[in-house]
Amino acid sequence: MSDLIFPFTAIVGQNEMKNALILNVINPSIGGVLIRGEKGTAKSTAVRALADLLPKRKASDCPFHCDVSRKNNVCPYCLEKIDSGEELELKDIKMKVVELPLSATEDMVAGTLDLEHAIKTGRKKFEPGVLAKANGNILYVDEVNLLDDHIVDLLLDSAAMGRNYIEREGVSFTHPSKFILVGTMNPEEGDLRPQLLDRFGMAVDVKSEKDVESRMDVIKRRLEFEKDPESFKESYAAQQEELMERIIAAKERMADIVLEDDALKMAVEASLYFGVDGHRADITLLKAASAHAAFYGRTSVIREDVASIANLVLTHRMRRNPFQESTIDAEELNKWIKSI
Amino acid sequence: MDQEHLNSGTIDFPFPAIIGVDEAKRALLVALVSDDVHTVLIQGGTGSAKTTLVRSVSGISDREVFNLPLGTNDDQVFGIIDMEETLLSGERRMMPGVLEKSDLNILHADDVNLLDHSLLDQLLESVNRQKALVEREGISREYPCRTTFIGTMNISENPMSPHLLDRFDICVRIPVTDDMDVRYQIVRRRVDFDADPEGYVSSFNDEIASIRKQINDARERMPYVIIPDDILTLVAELCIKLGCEGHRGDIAVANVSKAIAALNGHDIVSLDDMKEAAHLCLRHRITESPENSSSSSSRSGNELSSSEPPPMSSDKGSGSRNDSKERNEETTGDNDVAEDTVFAVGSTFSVIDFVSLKPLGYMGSSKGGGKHEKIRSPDRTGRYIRSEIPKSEVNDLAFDATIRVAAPYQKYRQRGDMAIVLEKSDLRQKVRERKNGVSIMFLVDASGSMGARKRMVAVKGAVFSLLKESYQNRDKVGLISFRKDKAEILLPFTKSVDFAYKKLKEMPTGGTTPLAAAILKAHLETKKEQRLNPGEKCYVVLTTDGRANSSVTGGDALADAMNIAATVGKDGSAIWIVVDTGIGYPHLDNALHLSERLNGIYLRLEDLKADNLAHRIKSIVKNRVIG
Repeated sequence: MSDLIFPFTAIVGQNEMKNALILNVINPSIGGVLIRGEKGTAKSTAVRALADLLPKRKASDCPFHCDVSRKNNVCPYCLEKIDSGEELELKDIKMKVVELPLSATEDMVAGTLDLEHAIKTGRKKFEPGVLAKANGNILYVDEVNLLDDHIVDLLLDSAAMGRNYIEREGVSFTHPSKFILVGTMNPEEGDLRPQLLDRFGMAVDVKSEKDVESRMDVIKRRLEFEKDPESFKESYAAQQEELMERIIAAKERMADIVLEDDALKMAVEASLYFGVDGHRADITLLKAASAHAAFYGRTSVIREDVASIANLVLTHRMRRNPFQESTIDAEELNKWIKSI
Repeated sequence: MDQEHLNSGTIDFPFPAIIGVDEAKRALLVALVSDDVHTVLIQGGTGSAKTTLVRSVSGISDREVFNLPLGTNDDQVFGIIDMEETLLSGERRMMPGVLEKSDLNILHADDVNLLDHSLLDQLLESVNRQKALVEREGISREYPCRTTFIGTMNISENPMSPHLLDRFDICVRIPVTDDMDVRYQIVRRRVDFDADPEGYVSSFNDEIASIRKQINDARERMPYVIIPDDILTLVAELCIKLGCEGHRGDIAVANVSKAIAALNGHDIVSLDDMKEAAHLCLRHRITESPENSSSSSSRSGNELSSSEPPPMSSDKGSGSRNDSKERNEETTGDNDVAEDTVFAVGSTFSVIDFVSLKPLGYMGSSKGGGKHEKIRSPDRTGRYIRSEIPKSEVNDLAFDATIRVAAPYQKYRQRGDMAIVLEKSDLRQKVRERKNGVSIMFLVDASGSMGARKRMVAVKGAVFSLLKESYQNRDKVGLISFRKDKAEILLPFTKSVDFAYKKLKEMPTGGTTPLAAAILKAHLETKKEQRLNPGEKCYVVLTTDGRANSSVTGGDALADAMNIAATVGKDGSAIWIVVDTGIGYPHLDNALHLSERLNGIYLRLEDLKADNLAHRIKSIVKNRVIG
């Protein structure tokens, strides 16, 4: 029973969070999502539920499942094969949600020496860690604000370069580590390091349902699921299938996306209006808007796409008075979105 | 490892013989009946039979009770690589942690609130998910943990954060009993048991058998128990009204009410079943800021038609007393209060991040700036985060790393009879880290002069605002008041901000101002704290109007205070924040001078408010000009 995942489509409400997750799957270059919210609001459930909706991808059969279409970012094993002109075996590999537990030690995250191999053969061999497993997948950190600083540093390095460099215990190794970073946190428990906050392409604030009807639905579905997970999943199979197909179609459509000038201008306008630093926000706005358009079956990005995702991209980037809550800005954002 | 197994060797006090803990017993039965209730928290005073009760569970079920010792670390909980076996066999072997060993059984943690915060967090997450995920020191694995986790804790110390509390499906409090007869019975039973444990237990055989039957019958009934929609609607409404954050409370009430229905022999959950469940599941989830603790607990009582014991002190009574005193005090106007008066706590506000302000000329460590940074642990406490080449002598060997370094060379070294040969160059030292604590001592002038024009009301409001901030940051706080010739520690350093609030509220005002004694007292307290917890950052927030009229040496009281301040300032072990509460005309600069001597930060009371940023900047600039 513990291995059965609650169906994504059975989660009541929380549409912003669900959208943010789906858009990242459609376009991984958005840069992940940070989900903030009070305790017990299905944050972790939603992220783990995403696993059932993830598409397959073509990748090499090496331990890192390299994306060989990017020849400059493959592991040493694949590179050797490519250089020697050998044919690489490709496989359809389903994307996964790889979890990084808070108690993880540095060696297990970065990867380390394979002890068994070393004792038996006297040779050093690299043993992949979480960052290797995460390549091409979703890397999920629950309670990301409580993650130890030295692990955060490892994450930041890999997230920035898409590659993990290891120098430890006499092992020197490097491999691709490109992942969609998803973090969940309860702000009551403490703040997130600003560098890490910056890494997230999107941020969503979730709250519990406040009306009796939906709250009842939450309880009912949970009870049904606990009672008989298989048949509960069965009853959502059609919806799950439909959503998954829609995601796959949108992913394929991404290649044909055309960014209209109109939408582009609007993204820049939005960043300027809200005083967001740097160009990363503009670019992320466009990437997210593209994914949004693709999800809604279009190949051209329109103003509505930008407006729909602006909230997700801008809230955590707004420059604000250090002694002020961000709520006023959020209101302003909503006003601005409505004004178009 | 036998130690973690509670049942071995000793005879446990029988479950039915324990009295005065009905609610806790009910909670345990529910956990034994429902497979969807994974976590139970039992709070109670010392000697309230919490542990006895948990141990007795093995007598009424086939589950074993495993113990989680207080000093437990991640390895013992989640498992670790078995170095001996791995080296002997050349294959990786695991040493399971207590979480894995207690699968399908019961795991008990006494003083659960004293466990490392992040360890407990992950433990609860694993138990609630029924699956553990480990990425530690050479192990990467997932395994089932269908453990029922029971935490017990002493209510009077180190409250748990709401975040952790929420992860417990059920939370019960064992009431203090002052019923003569009950007390007599408890002692009588204990004495009888100690005289002849086996005989005593067997005298309860029938009762134990009937409890076992009740549990088994209920378990069989569980799959058929139905919870009607109108009851579910009520659950949702109740949770909304009580302000429970998130949906864990709702789900817990639903699950627990099914188990209670099953225990009561109902196939359909009744209103009373649900009410009982709500008592068990919601008390710890009601949003309770220290500010309105009294009102919300009485509210919960009304909503649930509670049968819980009356609160320790009647807050309502003291509240109205405050009101009348306040009225009296209004008539006194500008004058100091001579008699002891308890002022109400004034309005609160969000406070500036005062701890990140640095005093002028402060030479202490300013690395990181944030006050809650983690520090490298100098001794062998804290979490093992990585290994390094030893800089001096190895006193905390990183076994895994050392073996890994040596492993590739084993083929070439002369091993003789040994499984592995280590050389000095292989040795690696553990690097451990622990959280850097912050302690804030509030040193509050409660002399008569503070009573004038209700200044004390504003000061209490300000201190409470600061306390609220500390509550969110999980800082330690303490409270010293000074008046009538002496400084009195109302609250030594504690993590219970709730408690600090109570002390603050009850703190009387009136009498003379022994400023020098106060500074000295706070200084000694923070020194003591730092000796106990090396590396801890200490702050003293001194609220004063800069007046002093009670001296230590018998000389001029103010000069006395200034001298001591200068000495304390030179020592520099704590950071002082002087909050000037003086108002009106003429304004004395005493508090400002005091802060200079203390090498501290000077703020006016009104500067503490987060929105008074401009004031704050002004005051700091002013400080610079004069300094």
